[in-house]
Amino acid sequence: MAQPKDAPILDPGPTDLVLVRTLPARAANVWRCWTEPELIRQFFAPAPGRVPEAQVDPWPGGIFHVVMDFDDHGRMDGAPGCVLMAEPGRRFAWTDALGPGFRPGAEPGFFSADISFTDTDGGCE
Amino acid sequence: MDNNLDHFFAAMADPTRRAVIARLTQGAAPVSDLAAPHDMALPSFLKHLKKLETAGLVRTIKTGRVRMVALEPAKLAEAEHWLSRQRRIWEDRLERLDALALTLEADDGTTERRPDP
Repeated sequence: MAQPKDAPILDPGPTDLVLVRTLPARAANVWRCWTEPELIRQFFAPAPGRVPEAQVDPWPGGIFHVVMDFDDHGRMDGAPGCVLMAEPGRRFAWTDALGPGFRPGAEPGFFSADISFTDTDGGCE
Repeated sequence: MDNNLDHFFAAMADPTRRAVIARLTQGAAPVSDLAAPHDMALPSFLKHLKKLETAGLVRTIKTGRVRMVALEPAKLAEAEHWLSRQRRIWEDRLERLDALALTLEADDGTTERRPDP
């Protein structure tokens, strides 16, 4: 079967969320937001949470780990996740079902994210 | 995520079980009717039903010699609520990411691509 190019999720099931956004910034800058800990800290936590610590190695098998603090819930610090795909400026995917190095996760997986970036006229999607 | 919802998402992770739920949204049905479109032995199909029952998504009622299966809408609603909360979390997160990416863009000083003020 040919690998789908433009559709990371061909058949969204009841537990899939698909979000498409277009913004006037280059894909390279959106890529930076996902792969630089200092930038992840600035947007990842749902308000009014904070990210005291983030670790990302943007290559397959690398670590993806974000710790979040919430005043009313305390600290959310799950087992470190694993980067699955890392194509600079094009695609970034990770999961918490595996640990770094593709090792089966210590906790049952909850989540996989697959983020594609496409440069468009004057921005990216 | 609480344990009930774990059951829910595990139950819904399978295409056969999703098809059963889709069929049941049109109303309760006998086990034999539900099994008919699926190319598998009845014991295998019953295992799928059992998973849906364990997840609290369906209940079965025996009426005479027929076992009827019906949806438990409360569980579906609970999961829907959870999913819409996740959607909101991610929309808010991407809102903030957009703003951050635009800041980076402005810092780059690439005037031709800079967003209109």
